[in-house]
Parts: sequence; structure tokens; C-alpha cells
Amino acid sequence: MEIGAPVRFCAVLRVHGAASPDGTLASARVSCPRKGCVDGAECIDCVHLQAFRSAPEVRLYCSVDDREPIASWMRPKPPSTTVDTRCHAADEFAAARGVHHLLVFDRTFTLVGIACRCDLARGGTRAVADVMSSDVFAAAPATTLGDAAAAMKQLRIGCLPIIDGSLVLGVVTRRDLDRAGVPA
Amino acid sequence: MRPATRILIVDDEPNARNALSELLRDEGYEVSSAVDGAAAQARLAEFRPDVLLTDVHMPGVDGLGLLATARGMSNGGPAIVLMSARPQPRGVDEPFIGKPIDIDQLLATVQRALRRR
Repeated sequence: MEIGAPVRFCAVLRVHGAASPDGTLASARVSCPRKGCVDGAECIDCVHLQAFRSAPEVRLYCSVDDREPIASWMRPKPPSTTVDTRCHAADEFAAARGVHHLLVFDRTFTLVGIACRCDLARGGTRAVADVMSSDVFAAAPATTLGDAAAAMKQLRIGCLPIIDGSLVLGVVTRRDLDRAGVPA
Repeated sequence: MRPATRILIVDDEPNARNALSELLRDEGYEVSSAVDGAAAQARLAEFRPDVLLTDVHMPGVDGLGLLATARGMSNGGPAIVLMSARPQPRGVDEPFIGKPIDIDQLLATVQRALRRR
């Protein structure tokens, strides 16, 4: 390899699936890193599936590389709150939705901050605006997984909104990048 | 202790190569890999595999070119298993396995190829 040549990052994801009654991938429900919980038959036709084992447990070896656009790994419709909401209420909402971060919008529906549950839990009856982080870093949907992971590591953030102009399309968290095999 | 069966994996797709290497090591095989047919030709004499597991379609020296090299080796060469996402090439009767690889099917095919050797 020449010095300075770009290095293509490739990851093999090992995905443990749910055991199938007859031990075949086709009849198993598997946890696919890309599609979520799907019928194993869908995986057999997937170009990302490199190898699999169906017994005694379903195991899939899928592939991904860090040049993929972040949009394919983001969570659409991210849970959000408003600047005026009380912290304890926002924290309960985040807990109910199973997320650690909430996007915070102002009265004009503009993204103005991100609040994590640690801050919300300490905030009590104060408004979300008082505890949120106003430094919002965001990425375009075409940003690659590798660039997003590098940026999140450098900025020390756990949640990256994906925006198109002023429109918020979704978020990517550290957990999503771990799932993609590109840890931030 | 019986020495582990050596398998040389040849595939230009890094993810397939890594996945197969990991799976076969888990099964107790000694595994080496090569990124294409040309690299594998150099690796054959050095690693002396019992089984050559090669993709059919690769740039440069492809799986069938590699097959010709392995058949011409003085010690009779390794057992050969071909793999491809496309149908089995015509006129080739070496054990063949389709992609994506079902590891149980692969292990059975490797054993069958070793018996044929």
C-alpha cells in the first residue's frame, strides 16, 4: 500500500438471530443490522449477507463499509421536545421512547438544541431550554458513515441530527454507528 | 495431536474473506487468505493448503485460472472448492457452493472435497 493511499474500512457484522423452530434461516426471525427484525428469507437475498450459519443458533455475517451514506443508518422521526417543556416531563417522555437524547425545537419549529437524559434528570421543574446543549452539530444525509463517526468522536457528541437545509430528517447516535460496525 | 486442516481462502471481496476466515477458524481450521488469484498463486507453495476455497469471479487471475495452477502442482495440489454468487461454471466438476455461504453446507462440502483428494 502506498503511503497516503485511502484505506477502505470494512467491517463484518456478526448478528445473532432468534433461533428458528426447524433450524433454517428462511424460517427464522433475525435481527438484521440494516433492516431491524426481519424474516431470515429476506437476508438470504440481501447483497450484504456474506455468510451465515443456521444451527444451533442463527448467526449472520453481514458487511458494511464506512463510505455508505449516513442516511441509510439514521433513525427517522427522532423524538423531540420544546424549549418550554419541563425537564421532568421531557425526561419521562425520553424514557418512554427508549432514547437518551431529545432534539429541542423552539416555537418556530427550528432546531435549537439537544438535551440528554442526564441533563433532564437534573433539571427537575426547570424548562428544557435551561439545561439543553445549544451547540448543535448536524450532518447532511450524504455524509459518509466514516466521516460522521470521526466527527462525533472529535466533537465528543453522542447524537448527530441529519438535516437537509432546515428540515430535520433524523438522528444517528453512537449506538447506531456501533450497529453499523463503525464505532464513534 | 493431529495438525489442523489448512484452508486457503481466495476472494477479492474483503467482507466475504473476513467472514469466512472467522467462521472457519471457529471450526478449528488453520486459515490463510489471499485477495485475488495472483496473490493466491504465490501463497499456494508457501502455505501448502489442504483445501483451496476460491471465488470464481475475480479480477486478474480468476478462480478458474487458479484451479488450473492448483491442478498442476507436483504434490497433486489441494482439494478445491469453488464459490460464487452466480451459477456453477459449465464444464467444472469441482465441489461448488453458492453465495451467500451457508457455513454448514460449506463444512460438508470441504469434507467431501477432502475425501475426493
